[in-house]
Amino acid sequence: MRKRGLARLLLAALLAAAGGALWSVSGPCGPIDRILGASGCLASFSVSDLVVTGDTIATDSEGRLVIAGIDYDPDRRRDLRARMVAVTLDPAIGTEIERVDLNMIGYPDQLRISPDGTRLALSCNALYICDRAGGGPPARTGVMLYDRVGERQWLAGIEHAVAPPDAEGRAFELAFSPSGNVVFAHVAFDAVSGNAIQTREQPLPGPTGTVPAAPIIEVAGQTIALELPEGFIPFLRLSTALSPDGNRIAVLARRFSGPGEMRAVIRVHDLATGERLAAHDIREDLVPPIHWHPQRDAVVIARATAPESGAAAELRLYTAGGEE
Amino acid sequence: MIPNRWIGLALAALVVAGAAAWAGWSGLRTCGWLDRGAGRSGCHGTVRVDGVLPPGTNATVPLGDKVAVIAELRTADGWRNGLIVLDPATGEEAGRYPMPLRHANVRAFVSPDGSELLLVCGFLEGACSESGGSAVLFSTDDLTVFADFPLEDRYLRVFPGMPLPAEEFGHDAVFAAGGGRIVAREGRAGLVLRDANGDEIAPLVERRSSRADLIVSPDGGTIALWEREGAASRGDRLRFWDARDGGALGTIEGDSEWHLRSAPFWSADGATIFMPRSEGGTMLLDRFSAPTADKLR
Repeated sequence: MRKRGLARLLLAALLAAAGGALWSVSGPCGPIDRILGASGCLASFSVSDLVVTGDTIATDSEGRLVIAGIDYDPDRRRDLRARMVAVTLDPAIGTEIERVDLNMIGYPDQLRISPDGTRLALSCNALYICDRAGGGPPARTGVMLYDRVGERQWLAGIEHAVAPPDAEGRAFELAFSPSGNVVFAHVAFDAVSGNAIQTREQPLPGPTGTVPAAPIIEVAGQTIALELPEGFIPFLRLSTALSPDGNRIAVLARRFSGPGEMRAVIRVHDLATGERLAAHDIREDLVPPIHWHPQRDAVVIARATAPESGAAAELRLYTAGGEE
Repeated sequence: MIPNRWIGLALAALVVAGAAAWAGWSGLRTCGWLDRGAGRSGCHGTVRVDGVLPPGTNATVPLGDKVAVIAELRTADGWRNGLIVLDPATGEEAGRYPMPLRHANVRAFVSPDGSELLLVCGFLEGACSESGGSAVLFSTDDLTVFADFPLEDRYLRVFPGMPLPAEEFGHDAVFAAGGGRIVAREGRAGLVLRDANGDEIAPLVERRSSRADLIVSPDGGTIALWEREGAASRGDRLRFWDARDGGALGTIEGDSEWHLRSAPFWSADGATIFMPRSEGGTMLLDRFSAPTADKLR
C-alpha cells in the first residue's frame, strides 16, 4: 500500500515537472511559440544584471546593440542601489560582449551614440535622483558624456526651472550633431569639453522618438490608426522607431496601469502608403524603448522588470513585416 | 520521555491558537470581520484596489455614479501620477489614466455641470504641469482630452466662477445647504454654523484637532470634520452635523491603526461615505452608512 502511494506521488511529481517544462518552452516567445510563429516573436535574449529603463537601446557604428540600464545591487544603507551600466551585445545571439559601469546612481532615460561610435551620451530620468556615487544636486536633469570604456568625460545639469520635465521624467530630447562634436540637451554642449556653446549645427534626427498618445497618430506626414484593444489606455506618449531604410515606422503603445489582458501593442506601418505591415498584441508589460534590429527585419523591445538584486532584462525580437 | 505525538499535538495546538488569536485581533480592528459582524464601528466592508496610492490631499471627485481618484498608480515604469475611475462600493474600475502633471499633490474641482475637471497644483509646488503651468483642465467625457488652464488665483478653493463665503468669515470658510449656511472658524480652534447673513445658528465644536479638514456632503446637507488622530485611541475620527441646524449626527472613530490617507467622500446617492486608506501599494475604501438628519427623524 505504502509503495503504491509513493509511486503515485512520484508519478504526480513527474507529471507536474513535465507540465512545467512544457509551459516554459511553449509560453510567449518560448521555443514552441517561435517555431509556430504564433505571436510574431522571433527571438528572446536574457541579459543578466540589467534592467532597461528608458529610450536606451541603440546600435553602434559596428552594428552591435548597446543598452544602458540599471544593475541593482544590495546596499548596506538602503535596500537596493541602482548602478547605471552600459552593456554591448552581439545582436545575432544576444550574448554580452562588454559591460561598463558608468559610476552613476540613477535611472537612465535616453542613450545616444556618437556617429563615429566613440562616445555615449546619456540623460537621466528627472523623476529620480541621478547623481554620481556619493551624491549630487536635485532639481536638475543630468546629462553625461562617456567614452566607450565607461570613462566619464563630463557631467552637466539642466535646471528643471529652465527645462521642466514632463510627467514621465523627460526634460529634453538628447542628440548628437551629425559631426558628433556637439551634444544637444536643451542647450548645445561641446562634446569634448562639456561647455555650453552656441552653434549652427543641428541635432541629428535619431531613429527613435515619441508621439503624443492618440487612437490615430501623425508620423512623418502619414496618418496611422493604431486600432488599440478595447479599454486600452496608454501612457501619455508612444515610442516610435524608424527603420534603417527610412521606409517603415514601428510604434509601441504600452498600457498605462491597471487590469487588462493586453499590456502593449506594436504596429509597423509603411510610411509611404500607410499600410500596416505587422501588428503584435503583447500580454506582458514592456518598458519604453522600441528599436530596429541592426541585422534582422525585426524590432527589439524589452520586458518590464521589477527592481531587485540580480534582475535580468528580457529582450524580444518581433517581426516587422518585411523579408526575414 | 514525552511521546512524539503529544509534542506534535501541542505544537499543532499552539499554531491553531496563534492563528485564532491573530484572526481575532485582526477581526476586531476597524472594518475587520468581527468589527463588521458586531457593528462596532459601523463599517460595512472594505474594497481593496491594488496599485493605487492616494496622496494626502482631497483627492477624490464625483464622476456620475463613479468617482475619480487622483493618485500615484503602479505602472510598468514604476509609480506614476494618474487618475483612476471606479465604483467605490464594488471596486469595479472604469479606467486608469495618466496625468500630464509632475506630481499627484494637486487639488481637484469639478464644474457645476460636471463636464470639466480642473486639477490645480499644490500651494507649495506652484508649477506642476508639463508646460510649467499651474492647472490642467480635463473633459470628464474623455479623460484623455486635456489642456493647460490659465490660472489667475493659485489659491483657488472652488471651481472658477463658483461662490465662496466672504473673506470676513475666514479663508477656509465653506458654504453648505446650497449656500444657505456658512461653516467658519470660531476663535482659535472652534467651528460655528452661520446662516447666509453671517448670524450664528449653532456652535459645532469648541476645540478641534490641529490636523483637521472640513468637508461638506455633495448635497450640502451634512458637514463632516475629519480629525487625524482625533479619537481617544489615536486613530482618525470623523464628526458629523446637520447643515441646517447644526445638530450632531454622530461620530465615526477608528482604532489606533485606522488612519485615512485622504479625505472621505460620499456616494452619488449620499447614502454611503467612503474612507480611503492605504496599505502598502493598495488603496482601501472602507464603507460606512452616511449619517444624515433624515435617518434620525
